[in-house]
Amino acid sequence: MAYFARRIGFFLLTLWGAVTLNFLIPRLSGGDPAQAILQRIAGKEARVDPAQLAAVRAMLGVPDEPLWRQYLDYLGNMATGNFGVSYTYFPYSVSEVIGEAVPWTIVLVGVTLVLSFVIGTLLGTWVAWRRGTTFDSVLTVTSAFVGTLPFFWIALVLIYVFAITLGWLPPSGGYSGLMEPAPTAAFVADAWPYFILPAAAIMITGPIGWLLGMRNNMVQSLGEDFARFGRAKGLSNRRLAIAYGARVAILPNVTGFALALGGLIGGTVLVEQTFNYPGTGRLLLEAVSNKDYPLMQTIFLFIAVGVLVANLVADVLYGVLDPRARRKEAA
Amino acid sequence: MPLVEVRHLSVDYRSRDLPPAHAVRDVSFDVAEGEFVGLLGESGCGKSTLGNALLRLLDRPAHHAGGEVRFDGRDLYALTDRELNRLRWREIATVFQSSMNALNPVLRVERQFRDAMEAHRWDPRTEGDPRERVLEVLRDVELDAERVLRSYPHELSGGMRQRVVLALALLLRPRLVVLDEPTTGLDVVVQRSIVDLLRRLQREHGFSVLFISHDLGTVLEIADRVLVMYAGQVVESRPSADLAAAPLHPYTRGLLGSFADPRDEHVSVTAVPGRPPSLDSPPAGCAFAPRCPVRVAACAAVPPVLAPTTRTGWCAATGTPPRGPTSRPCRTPRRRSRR
Repeated sequence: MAYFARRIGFFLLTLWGAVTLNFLIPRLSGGDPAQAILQRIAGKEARVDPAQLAAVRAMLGVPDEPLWRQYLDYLGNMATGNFGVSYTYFPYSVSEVIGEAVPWTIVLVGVTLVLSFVIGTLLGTWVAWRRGTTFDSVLTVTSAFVGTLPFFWIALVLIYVFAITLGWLPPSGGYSGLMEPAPTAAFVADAWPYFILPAAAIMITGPIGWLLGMRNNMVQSLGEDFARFGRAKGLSNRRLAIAYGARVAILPNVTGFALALGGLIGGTVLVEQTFNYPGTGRLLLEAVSNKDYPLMQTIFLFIAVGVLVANLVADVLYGVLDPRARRKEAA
Repeated sequence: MPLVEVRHLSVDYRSRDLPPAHAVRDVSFDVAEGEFVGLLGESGCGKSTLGNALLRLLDRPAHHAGGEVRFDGRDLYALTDRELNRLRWREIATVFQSSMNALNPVLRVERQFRDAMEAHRWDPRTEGDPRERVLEVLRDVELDAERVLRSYPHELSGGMRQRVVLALALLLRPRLVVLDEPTTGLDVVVQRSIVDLLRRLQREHGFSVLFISHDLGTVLEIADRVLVMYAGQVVESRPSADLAAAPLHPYTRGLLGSFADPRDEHVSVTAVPGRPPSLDSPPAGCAFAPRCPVRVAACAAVPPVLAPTTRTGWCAATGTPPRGPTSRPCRTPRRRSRR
């Protein structure tokens, strides 16, 4: 139990660190957000009217309190989900903007990630069990080759073939625009063709990492003495492959999966940009190119929290799956 | 009929680019019911490969290149996988070289015992309560059974793990246990206790043992009979007492010479000069000839044949010039002088 308590303690500490850094960095970097907004509206060279500046400041809420007071307010805001106003999507709040993008990313990246992991791990297990056969060589070499293809190239080929040449699927976007996004069957029916191409583009390379990782780990664990010993014990192939091969080999993959889930919120910037998909990855790119600090900051915070939570989950999972990890920690 | 009959067994290590290495070459020997046989040889002589071949556990690149292993009359290499799995553990169990790592790190010890019982359909009606049997066999190896069963392997010491593996091997009351350097990596005191334990259990339960080791002292002490292996071949097979008293093969004599008894006041250790031959092109004649102190010209050309020397012993060496197309049995120097 000490293992899990320690993990959770460490998680809380790093979470606090990440949130605090997120508070400090913009305050250290200087610049006047009100000025920035007005400059954006008026253009780079234009002179800014001090009255307007004052008005924007009043609207944004100018920090005139001491730093520790600001910090407490900030923590309160973070806890209640008040992340301020987006510059790009003014007057929408950051929460609203992100709230709209998040479901798209969770569906696209979440579904493909889980599928990739499951397919890759199962295939890896199968290939490892038949290690050294032609099936193994063909699948392993093919995967390694396909894995080197650049993602944008795969995406462009898919768009060219299925969207432009064959015209079966829409080339970009997340939905037709004829309906407002809503969790209804009708909207899902409208949006799903837009989902296929980006998902397919991810799935072509997605399982490969899991497959190769699983294969190599399992080939190794099957070569270990305990697996040979299991064979000498006369265990069935099934029991041997699962409890003595895959069960041990999957450990690093599980950690990898938990970490990948943590990165989910950052989306896959490249995918979403290529397919103009309305998720958080594209939003992040937009925030960066528009210097939309509140939006950027919040997305980064979400990514940081996501990674931290994922780390915690990975540690806890690892502790559950590998009794040795618990022991090492205690020693 | 002996329990195990090995006949002309050969094992090659094959690789695509290199010539095959003949790790075990035309080996024949028996293990009688209840007999404790030691298999002695230096590293790389093929003794572990022979052990694996006996269990039909050869992993690539090792290949069974010929010969038979008959267990209780059944040729192991003629069995289907299913028949083989049924035979394993029920009749032939094993303890590996590094049985420190022979336990699955993510399963509790109890689970690993249950695995073996489930795989072999332990029948509580005829064979008794499975848990009782596990406790019994763990008590046999002098372990705190309840505690050990709840543990993961990494929570046990090396000696305890070794005992767990031994208990696992004895779980289904096998008729043959193959132990491949079972005390590697353990300190001398623990080695001693495990060897004593093994000998006691073997006497109590009467299973046959093939004990593979490079440790001459232990083998001579523990085994009824010793097989000496050199460069993939068995060169001498004799009761340990005879072998210790009067080794026949010049290699065995060399080994005994390199074995120092720490109790001796004047210890003179003579190593066997030279190195074993490469196994991918073993010499046409006697493999030991290049290192042999008593070699004659014919040794390089004529392969020695394992031939009876006394009523109980076999030895393969030319030793003295061969008379005919096959080599003749070697003689001890003592016997030669008497003639």
